[in-house]
Amino acid sequence: MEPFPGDILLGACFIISILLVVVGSLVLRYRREAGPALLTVAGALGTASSIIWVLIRSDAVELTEVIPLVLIIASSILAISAVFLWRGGK
Amino acid sequence: MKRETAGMLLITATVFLWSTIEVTTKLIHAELPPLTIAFLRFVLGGIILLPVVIIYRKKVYWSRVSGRDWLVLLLLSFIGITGTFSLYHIALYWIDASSVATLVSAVPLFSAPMSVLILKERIGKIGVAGLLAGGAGVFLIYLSEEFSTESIIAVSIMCIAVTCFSIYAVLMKPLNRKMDPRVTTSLSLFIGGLMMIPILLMDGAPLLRPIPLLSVVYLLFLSFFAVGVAYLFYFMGLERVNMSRGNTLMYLKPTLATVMALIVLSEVPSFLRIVGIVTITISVFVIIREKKLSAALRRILGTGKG
Repeated sequence: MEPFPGDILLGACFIISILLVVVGSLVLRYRREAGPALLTVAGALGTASSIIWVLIRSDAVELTEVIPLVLIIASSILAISAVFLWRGGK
Repeated sequence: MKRETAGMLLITATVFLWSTIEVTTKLIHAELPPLTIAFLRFVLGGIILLPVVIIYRKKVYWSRVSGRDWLVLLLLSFIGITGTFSLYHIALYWIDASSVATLVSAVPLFSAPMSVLILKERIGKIGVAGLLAGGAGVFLIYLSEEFSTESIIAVSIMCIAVTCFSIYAVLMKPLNRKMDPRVTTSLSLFIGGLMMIPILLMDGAPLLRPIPLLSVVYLLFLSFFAVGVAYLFYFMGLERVNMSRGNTLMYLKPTLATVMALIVLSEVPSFLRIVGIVTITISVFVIIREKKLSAALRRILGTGKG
């Protein structure tokens, strides 16, 4: 199977999302604040989108490819919001 | 009619209309793709709600609303309306109407941990017990679905959708204090509907296509009544009764939706699903009423000791 540009993008997204979850949850242990919490959720959504993408591309499920796309956008919005809220900003 | 009775009747009508969403959507699934239904539902419903923005504009502290607040509203509309309801309508395509209605009613289960982390609200032991029970309820709904990869993924997608909506509900709280909740809700429903257009285009789904007259009627009911009129009734009802009392009626949604699915779609709920629906309804009640329940429990224990 030839890798589709989306596969490469979602592969990179998977690695970044896992990192976000790890960093977010580690920080969350010491700083129970909005920034790390949102970063963890953003990472979880990104990871879910990559897994759903793999399932769709491998024909394991018949779902529209829009689902991972929506999740990636939502995850990106949350990750950016997390940066703004990182220092307990309002 | 007393003001409060009228308020409760309006909110009962809202809950009834919201309970019809899943069943009505299932009736037009054969005619339109899920994303087209979501788009039409929110854009047409949002148009009905735009006058609400004009009516309540004087209650907004416009001088305190900055460009950043508008950007936040735009981004949250994507997460809370575009994202949530695109996923919701796709999941509804694969799983039963009663399962989706129950999962979407479980928003407080998902928003409680978010409120603790993001808004630093407190949650007691009773709340934690409610959350655990709710988690068990979601698992029961998951088990009650037909065992196939699609339905497992669809229940997971539904849980992600509810998580997105919970984030929206929690992060909207500061904005609701600056702008009236009726204004922010109406705007975000309309904006969220419009933001579905690029997603529809990417999916290759049509914005509109000819459908039988009966499906047009269902679609108009879904947009104008289940979104537009339902929110109008909800806002009018909340002007007459206090929010916590009015929202107790929301616990009826999973049961009403299940009964409607049984009557209209002949969707017979399994024993597991009924247990799941009851568990989630009770746990949502426990989480929302946590403070009152804790106080009552302390009173009972205090009386017991005395």
